[in-house]
Amino acid sequence: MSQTRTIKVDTLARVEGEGSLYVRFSGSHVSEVKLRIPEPPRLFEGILEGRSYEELPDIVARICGICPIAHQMSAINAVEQAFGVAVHPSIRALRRLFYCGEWIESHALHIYLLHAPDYLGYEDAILLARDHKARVEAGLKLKKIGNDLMALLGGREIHPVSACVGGFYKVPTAADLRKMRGPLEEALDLAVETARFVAGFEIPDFEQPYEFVALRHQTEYAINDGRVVSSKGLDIAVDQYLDHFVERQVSHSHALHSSIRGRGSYLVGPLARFHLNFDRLPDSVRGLANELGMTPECCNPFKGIIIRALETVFACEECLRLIDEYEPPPAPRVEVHPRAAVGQGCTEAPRGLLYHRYELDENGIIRTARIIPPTAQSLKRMEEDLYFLVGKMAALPTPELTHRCEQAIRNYDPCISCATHYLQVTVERE
Amino acid sequence: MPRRRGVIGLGNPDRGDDSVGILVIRALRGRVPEDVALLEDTGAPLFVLEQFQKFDALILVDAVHSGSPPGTIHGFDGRQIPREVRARTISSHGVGVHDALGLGEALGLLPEIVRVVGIEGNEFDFGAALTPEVEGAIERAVANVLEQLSEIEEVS
Repeated sequence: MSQTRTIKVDTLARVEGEGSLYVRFSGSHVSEVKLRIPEPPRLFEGILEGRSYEELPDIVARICGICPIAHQMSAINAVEQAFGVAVHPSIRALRRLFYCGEWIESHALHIYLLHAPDYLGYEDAILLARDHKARVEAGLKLKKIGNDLMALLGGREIHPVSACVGGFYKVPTAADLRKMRGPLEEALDLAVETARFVAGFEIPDFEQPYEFVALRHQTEYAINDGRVVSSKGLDIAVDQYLDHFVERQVSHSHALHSSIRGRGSYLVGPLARFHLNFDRLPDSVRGLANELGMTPECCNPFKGIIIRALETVFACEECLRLIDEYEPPPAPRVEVHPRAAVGQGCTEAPRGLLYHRYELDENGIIRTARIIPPTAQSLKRMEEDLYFLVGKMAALPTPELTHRCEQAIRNYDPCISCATHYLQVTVERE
Repeated sequence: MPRRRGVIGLGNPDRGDDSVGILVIRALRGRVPEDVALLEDTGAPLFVLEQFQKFDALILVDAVHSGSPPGTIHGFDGRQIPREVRARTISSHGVGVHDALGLGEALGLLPEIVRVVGIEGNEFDFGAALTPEVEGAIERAVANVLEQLSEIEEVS
């Protein structure tokens, strides 16, 4: 009879990042959980030093092919704060529209191609597509509409080139935007169907006492800006972020682990936003959430897929509203006057809070850069989820337990989520 | 109506032999009939999936890592990629061409003709140079693609 059981999910190199999972327990007692992600965004901070703020949006867009807009928007917010730039309300609205396109694209990709197969017992999206062709088609269509919107505003959907400090290099006409109305109405229907579909999934019974952290805006479901708030009473301006959050080196990971000073791990992303900003969702989305049995108290990470679907519904509605209300700004961008200053920006990336900080000199040259992406903020919490999950489900045979662990990692939609889908799993029994 | 024909080279130009798909496309420029579209991409499955719907006949050119001698040219029907190749992934991208083909098949999106020309590579590290064996295979891969294009023309 083996006393020690080890679950190893080996490292796999991919362009977007690499990760590995190591779980070890003796008998039914979990002795160790390690999740390792060497984190590509760290390299960017060094690359940015000595570069002009004008190059910044194009460089940070390269951090991620799925969420380039998130990085552009956090970076631009930071520089605009540093230089004291105020943009026209129409520019802010366009940025929100742009960002919603990314939410739609990213959420649709994750729900259908990466996460849904876990719930329905398929090895991958290909096998899922054989039995649920219409659903996967709907997912791809949704993703495409999100991408089309990103391309319309950004010039292209991957690593878009139009956003800049002060505004955009080029803004669309109202007629350009109206062309997206039809597709977005279709996307809204598809998103509602998606929410109903995923709400029917069998969800593992697993709740955690999270401290949720997200941006909160006075009136909107926060995406572009707001204060950083938490479910345990934190309520700070973005420029106080580093006073309350700390990153620590851990020996088994190249990625830093974030925690709230004096408290510990926290959760960012869809669950946190839904919890903290439920009252900012439109009635229609709240109504749908109620109908599907989703309340802001939800603290089961396996329900994240349902919240992603609800956020997709919200994003589609928000796009339609923004398009209907759009009036082109007097100029695509305002003039920018560099000055020596520090600026910080936070936005809600599809995966959660994304923090950027830049120290700039009087010519607008970046002296230091700091980027804290949501996946890094969630790592510690992800390990804790795995620790408790493995403890709770220790009786499961190793292959099923391993699958549950992978599914739990994908709850976070981390940059490694597609890599983990293809990881070789090794089980050792001593 | 004539068939819409395309050749897509897949790979990462900064990862040694993985760049060969792209290099084959560059070597093909000016040597294919005017109607044949030549495209280069990193091999993102959703990009490939979108291309399926734009062509009636498509040839995908990509690096393969299967243990054969470097420079070996493999030819597959896109609908019948050998299981062991699928299991190992046909490219170095992790999520690769076989995923796009699998998804395309499941969703009924594959073009009437879809073929894969795989070139066995050896060195896939970041910043690595193309190995001489693979460089030497480029012209053979070009000849293979040109031959397949003329076959496709004949059957139409």
